Amino acid sequence: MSEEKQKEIVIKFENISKSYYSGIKAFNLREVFARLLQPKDLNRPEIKSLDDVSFEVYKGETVGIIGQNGSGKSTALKIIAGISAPTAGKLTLKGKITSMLALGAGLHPDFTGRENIFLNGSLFGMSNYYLSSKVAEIIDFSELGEKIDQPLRTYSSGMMARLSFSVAIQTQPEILLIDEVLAVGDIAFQEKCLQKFEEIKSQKNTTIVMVTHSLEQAEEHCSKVIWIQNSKLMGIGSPKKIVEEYTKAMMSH
Amino acid sequence: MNKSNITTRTSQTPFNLFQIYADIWKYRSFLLNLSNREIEIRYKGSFLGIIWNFLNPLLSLTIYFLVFSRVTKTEIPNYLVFLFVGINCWNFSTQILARACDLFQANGGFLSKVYFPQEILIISMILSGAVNYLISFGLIFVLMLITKAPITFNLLWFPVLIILQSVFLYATCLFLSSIGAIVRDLSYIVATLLSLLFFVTPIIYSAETISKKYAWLLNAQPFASLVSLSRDIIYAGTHPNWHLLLYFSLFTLIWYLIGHWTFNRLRYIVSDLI
Repeated sequence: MSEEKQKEIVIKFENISKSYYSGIKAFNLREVFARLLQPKDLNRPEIKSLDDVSFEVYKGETVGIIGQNGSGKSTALKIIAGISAPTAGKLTLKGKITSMLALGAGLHPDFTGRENIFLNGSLFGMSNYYLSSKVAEIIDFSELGEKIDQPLRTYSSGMMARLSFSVAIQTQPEILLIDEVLAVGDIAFQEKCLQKFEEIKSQKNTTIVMVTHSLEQAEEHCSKVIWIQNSKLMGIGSPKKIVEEYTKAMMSH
Repeated sequence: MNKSNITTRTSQTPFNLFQIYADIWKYRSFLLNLSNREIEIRYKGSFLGIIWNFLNPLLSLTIYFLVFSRVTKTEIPNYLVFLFVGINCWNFSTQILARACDLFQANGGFLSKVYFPQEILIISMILSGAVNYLISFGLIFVLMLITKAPITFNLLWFPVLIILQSVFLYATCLFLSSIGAIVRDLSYIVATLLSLLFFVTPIIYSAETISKKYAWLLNAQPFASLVSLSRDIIYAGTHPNWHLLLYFSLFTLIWYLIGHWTFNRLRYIVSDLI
């Protein structure tokens, strides 16, 4: 097992828990006063989104996270992305991260596709200088053609997703986080995206972590699958084995 | 192994200003594009475009001028320029502070989806506001020429004042945006406070006319300090009051440190709530 030795850990979850305070949502003065009068309401239960989760991801792996809605998959991605912080535990990361948690974030409808390439691209941390050298490539990949110089409000949602994906993929990440973004766009473009993933993986040995509801996709494209259920880690291992266990558990419900 | 590449995250958010600004520097293109967007959006689709920048203060100035110079008969010399300097300085502050409380909700769409230093939203809002403030200064300059007000080299202090005011507003926004995202009532409180503050700030009157003895007390209120300092250099044509300048700089520095510390503590609570 000489291969095992070379494996380099790039994401390490150590006993990570994440709770959201249910009470603080829609926190307003009326609620503050109401709570002062009813102190027992102060101990409202927290919403646990991740409960003592530990796992490791090695360099170059494609990891799929599966689980039901609300099980904590997206929370895990948000913590890796740096959008959210764990309530307890420790996360160690190695390398530059790009998060595609939602396509089209930060796009502005009044600006043209071309202007949005710069706005959206810089949001992903790319410099304007770098982006201007990549514009042709981005437009080409997005297949938007002449449409690129028209305002974004004339775009369909699929076209917007295509533009945003084409921009985000230029970040040359060492770790790429994807949250079901492939569900948008037509099949042909989805296929193109998956091919692009394979391409950057072979070039840069990029680590990909994706949340997916498609078990087929998980089995086909992932080298490892993590199953999270009710905010707890249920299993981690080869796609075939975990998907099988997951399906069995779902059936018995 | 390249250690600089490794990041760790726990529930603690260390208040390391060097690291925070290194991160913001990495996103400088975004900051630039976002500020451009702010300025462009303001005029995109509007018929008169950038003229509104002059028209808006000019209209409110005319109303104030008519009311206070004709109806109440003030004795302040060259009241037009006096008033304009005050109103412009005040508008720069309030236009930003009015938006600060809802800033994160308004940009929630990408705040919860992509990582970037949240401070950038505040900085870009202030940058575009400062550009507008600078442009409207052109109008004051024309008024000064017409009314033969003293034009001196002390005007060169103006950029310094803009920077100082921007830092003060930045600090205030750090408080307002983070707390405002948690306590939704804050925007209403701030709106009420601002309309009160307008009268406790020497905009339509001068601190000296209220009381020569207690003018310093009135000027200690930061918004008043700003108006007084601006008037020193633009309206009176003197150097800024050194004591007031020193006081305000120190105040801003301390205010900023507390503000950014608070912001940093609330950083992740905010992004979880949005």
